[in-house]
Amino acid sequence: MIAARGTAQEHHADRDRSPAGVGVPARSPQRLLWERFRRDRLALAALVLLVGLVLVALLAPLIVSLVGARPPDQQSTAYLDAFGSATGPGSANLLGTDELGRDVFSRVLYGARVSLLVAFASTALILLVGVSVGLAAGYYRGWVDTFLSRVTDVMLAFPVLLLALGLGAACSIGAGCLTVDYGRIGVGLILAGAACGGLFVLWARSRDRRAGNAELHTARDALANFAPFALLIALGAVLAYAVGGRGALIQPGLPVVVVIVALGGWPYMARIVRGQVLSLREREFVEAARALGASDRRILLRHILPNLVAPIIVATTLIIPASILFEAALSFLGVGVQDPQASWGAMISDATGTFDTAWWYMTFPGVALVLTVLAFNLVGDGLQDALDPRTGT
Amino acid sequence: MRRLARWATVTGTLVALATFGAACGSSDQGSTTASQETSVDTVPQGVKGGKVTVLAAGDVDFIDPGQTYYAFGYMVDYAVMRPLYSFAPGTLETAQNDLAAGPPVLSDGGRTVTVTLRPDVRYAPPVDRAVTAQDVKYAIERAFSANVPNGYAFNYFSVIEGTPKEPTDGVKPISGLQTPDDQTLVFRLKTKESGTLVAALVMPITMPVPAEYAKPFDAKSPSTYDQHVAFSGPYMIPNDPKTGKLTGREPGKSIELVRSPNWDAATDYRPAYLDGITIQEGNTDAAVSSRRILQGSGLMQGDNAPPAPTIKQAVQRYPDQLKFVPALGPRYVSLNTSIPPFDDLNVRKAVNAVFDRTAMRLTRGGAIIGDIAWGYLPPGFPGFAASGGLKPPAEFDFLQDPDGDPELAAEYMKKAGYPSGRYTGDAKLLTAAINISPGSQTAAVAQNQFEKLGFKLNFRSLSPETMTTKFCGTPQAKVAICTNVATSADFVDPEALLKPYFYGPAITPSNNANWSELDDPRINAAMDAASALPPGDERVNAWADVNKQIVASAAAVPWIWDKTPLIASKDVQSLGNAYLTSWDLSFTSLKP
Amino acid sequence: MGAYVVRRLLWLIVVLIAVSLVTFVIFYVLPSADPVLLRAGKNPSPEVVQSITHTLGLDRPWYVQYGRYMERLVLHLDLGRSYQNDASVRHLLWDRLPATLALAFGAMVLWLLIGIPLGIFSAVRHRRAGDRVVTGVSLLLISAPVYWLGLVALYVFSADIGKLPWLEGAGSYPTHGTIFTNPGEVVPSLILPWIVLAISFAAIYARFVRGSLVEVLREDYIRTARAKGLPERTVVLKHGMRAAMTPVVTILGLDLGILLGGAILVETVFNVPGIGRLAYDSIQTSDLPMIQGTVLAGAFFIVLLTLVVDLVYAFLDPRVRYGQGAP
Repeated sequence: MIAARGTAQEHHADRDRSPAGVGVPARSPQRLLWERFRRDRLALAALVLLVGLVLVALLAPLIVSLVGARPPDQQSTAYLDAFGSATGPGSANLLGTDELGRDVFSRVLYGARVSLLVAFASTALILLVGVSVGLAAGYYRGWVDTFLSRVTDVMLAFPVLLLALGLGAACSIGAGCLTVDYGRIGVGLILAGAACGGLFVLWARSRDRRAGNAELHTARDALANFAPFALLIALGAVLAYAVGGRGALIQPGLPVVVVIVALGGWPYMARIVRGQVLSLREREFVEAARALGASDRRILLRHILPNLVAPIIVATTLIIPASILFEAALSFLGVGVQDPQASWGAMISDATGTFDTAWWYMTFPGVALVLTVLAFNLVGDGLQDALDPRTGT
Repeated sequence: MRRLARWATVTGTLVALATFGAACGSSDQGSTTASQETSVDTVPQGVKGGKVTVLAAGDVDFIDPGQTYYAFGYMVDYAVMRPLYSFAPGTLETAQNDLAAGPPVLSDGGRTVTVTLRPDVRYAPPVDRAVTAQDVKYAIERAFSANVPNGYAFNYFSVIEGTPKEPTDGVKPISGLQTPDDQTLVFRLKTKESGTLVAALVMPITMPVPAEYAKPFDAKSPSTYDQHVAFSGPYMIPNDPKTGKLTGREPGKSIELVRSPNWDAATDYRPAYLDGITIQEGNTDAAVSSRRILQGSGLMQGDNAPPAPTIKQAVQRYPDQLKFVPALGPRYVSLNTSIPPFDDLNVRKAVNAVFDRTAMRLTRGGAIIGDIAWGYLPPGFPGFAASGGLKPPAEFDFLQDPDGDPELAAEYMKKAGYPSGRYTGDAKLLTAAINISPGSQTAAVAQNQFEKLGFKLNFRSLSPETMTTKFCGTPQAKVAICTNVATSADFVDPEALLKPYFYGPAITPSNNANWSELDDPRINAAMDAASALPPGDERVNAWADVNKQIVASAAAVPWIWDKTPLIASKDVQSLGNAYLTSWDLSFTSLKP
Repeated sequence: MGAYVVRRLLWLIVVLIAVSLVTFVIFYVLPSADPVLLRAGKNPSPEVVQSITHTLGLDRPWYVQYGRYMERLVLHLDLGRSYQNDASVRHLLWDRLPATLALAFGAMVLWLLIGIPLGIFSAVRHRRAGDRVVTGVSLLLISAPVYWLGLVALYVFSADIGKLPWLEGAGSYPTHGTIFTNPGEVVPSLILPWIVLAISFAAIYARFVRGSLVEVLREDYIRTARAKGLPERTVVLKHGMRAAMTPVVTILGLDLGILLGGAILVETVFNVPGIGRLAYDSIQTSDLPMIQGTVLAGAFFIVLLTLVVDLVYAFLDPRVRYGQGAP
């Protein structure tokens, strides 16, 4: 049997066959990735920064009370002068106050929540839609491809910011858009995902037993192929539950922003995935699999999907920072999370009228944005370099 | 961006009514026909000639006097056209006879109002003839036709006999408007209640429109007269000498004003010093355009008031270039009295008691920008003094402390049935707020005040147009709180500030102005009675009493009687017109 | 080749129709404000409201309105009149176009001049100090929101409020004249926005060129060229760049298309009266004819530039013309 090549899992069969008994243990591809990533100091530092940011976002209330700063939505006229102008950084307020007397330090910390939440949630959505569309279009070709590609093209032709503005403005009227219970949806998604996964395992196992087919070694392999995608979708679902279920973080406007950001980003993902699938399906190992009589579904899952992981991860690392910037731009233009929820883009927008005399509440949210996006970009770069086997040092 | 002064229109003066009501014998609020010259301010040492540029954010809504209804449109229209009566800068006390030769004469117990026009006012080319009473008659009639959507004709002029119930197909004559000769215009009314009509004669609807010239434009749907307006004032917009099509106006970009060749200074109380005015639109950033005005030369402000930090700068560095003109109404936060919990008087009193009005005022610039408001008639307006003036009204304990009184508020909440002194229901109150500065900051402070009492708000940040047309103005939307209400009187009479906003029967399914949806039978009756009174002290006092009753009902939270800041470059001097709430272009000149 | 061009032009038209339809439905079905009520005054009676609705033609079902809109557009090239001030949409768009054009093309020239050489430099010094510096700075600039950079730039350099008042600030774009008729006033007012836009995009292009060139320089034929003894400069600039430029051209087309549709963020911060600002204002006031006009203009430029890029490819690479691997 010609062992199917080109999968990241091919090492399984060779695991114990190190040459000539010399004890060099083969490392799993994930391990290899991590080793290479680790060597890039800058990327590592950025990863640490990222983890720190996530922690800050999650623990914002704790940090604020530890430092002794005021809660982010506490207004106070004590820090405004007779004309209503804000006071700058000082002992009372670490980073100064905004024009309502609110502590900028607290607001910057809490603003991280919105940015990260929107970034992760919308990226999850983008993956869901973009990968599905790209896969279908690239693999099935024909009229499916034509139709999906045309839809993608029209979406790409839309001035996205305008569409976002229009939807945001429209969704602010009446009962608003997307007012559902996100907690329930999140839980539902997790349960459904788990159920589907479990069913798939059972089915694959039974196929295994019946066919004795070497194509699908174990159900575990199939699951492992799915794992990255399932993980990302589950992450989004967990986030939805964590914030929607408790209701503490989700505010009117946030789900709309997530959807709008996702709406703007999925065509790019779809295009990238489609391109990759198109080239992959012509490769020899797919030809071989087809010659062996593997079904479409098997080829997709076993051969194509695993090889998409790398480019999709790379694309994701570009999309997350873009989503953060997009959400900030929407907030800057007045669409998005409502007061008093702190959002970096909204804070910069509030500052535009007074930044010549009150520089602090324009500067600090901006710096926070730059740092966050930079961290994601650096990690993304590091991942890209680590995944690319041709980049030698 | 549109100005927040949504309902701003021409103001009428109460004293003008008194002046007008000479035949009905009002006493001492000013002599009768002496209004022409005496109380007109003139710019000190005004220099004839020169040009000034006005920096504006948006465009006028219309030049067509039958359609214009926004403050900025008024600023331009009142420089290029002349209504029957108008206001000189600096005073709301007396209306000037503009097109009219003298005040309106009431007869027949008030059922007939007669206005005599000057014979010597001429239109600019291409119309190029004298203005007649028939022109004013046509101007009013066309405002009732479907092709000329007018925002107030039906509200204030339906009292004229023969006015239709709904907009007519094409311009139809109104039987109650008669012109026995070229200089006389007679209004025959359905009732004796002439007070409102007389006060409303200052509005643009009375600016003359030559019928034979305008008819073909008014036949189109919508009318294209806006692109062919005829000019009766000291200035005009350059136009094609044959067809009258405006050439000096680029919608969205600029408007040119030049001297009208047929304007005779002897016929007008306006000095009209400047030779030309350019209005430059698109200066949407108020901070940027204000800076340019203060530091530059030959510039003045249009519709975009400087933000608070710029006012501070102006006060500290350019005090000679800053003037204030009082706004034509209070700012308040409306509470929807038809939705729980605001249907409970005690809850409304609690909200009024807890509100930190000083903090609200700080978002607009602090003490310099206006006085804390305790009622709905602003300083300088008829009925203000009778309502108690600047001090908090002694008889209302929930209106004593400008910084708010949380203990008293808790007391009222307890009376309303919340033993903890805070709201304990789960309803999230739908709140409509504006999304542009400084209204957005004011809304954030207002939200804070409600939260002090335990209310949870479903807070929506909206553009002014959305807020008015889709939320607050639509009773069906069931908006509980509107944080950015700024009323502006259409004419100078307390009715203009109280009736549209607090009268029960005024509530309409769309574009409702009574955002509190107040429908108190006693207050309604009092308003009916006050409205029927002829102009004079009795009327003013009756309306002041209505004001007190509305304050007692706590249907809204008034918080400031503000002033509109006006800035100009160091070489420009001008006067602020209290009715237009802007610089008066006809009284502007360069410094010598 | 001719058939290809015709096919793509037809597709351009189809896309524009699709975009206009979607826009119409969105902004009609979910309007954020009611244009009728904006003219109706206080407490209008239902008859008055109905009358204004009829006068504006808004009482007909949406597909009828859409049909009339398309009819006017196709037959008379008339995009309707704004609800706000009755101005002709086409006239306003045409008026605002020079500012957007000047902003976009000026920035493009700058960012290409900065970004491409930096990218080449960075690729050649791959993983050495020079590369690290350029990459680091590029990443930093990419990570900053362009409107924030604009505000910072104004804070430092603006003539009226800046600490180092060397350049014209926001709002200095003259009312009359375009870059062609009044360059004396337009150019100084655009310098700061050009710089801000350019450094943002230059960073992207530097990285792109670097990545692309690094890949190309690994190819066999480059090794051959070097082995042949060609000077390094020729190898890199002549052989390397020719291949590396193709993806750059693609994103250049896309970026330019988006910018021409109106750089809302930059136009807002610097008060440049372009199409982007017009679009933003019209969305706020629910001015449907204007919204339609600006969205169509934006889509038109994006698709047009994609078409131009594809045509350039088709011209250069015969494989594309014959259908294989078309993106």
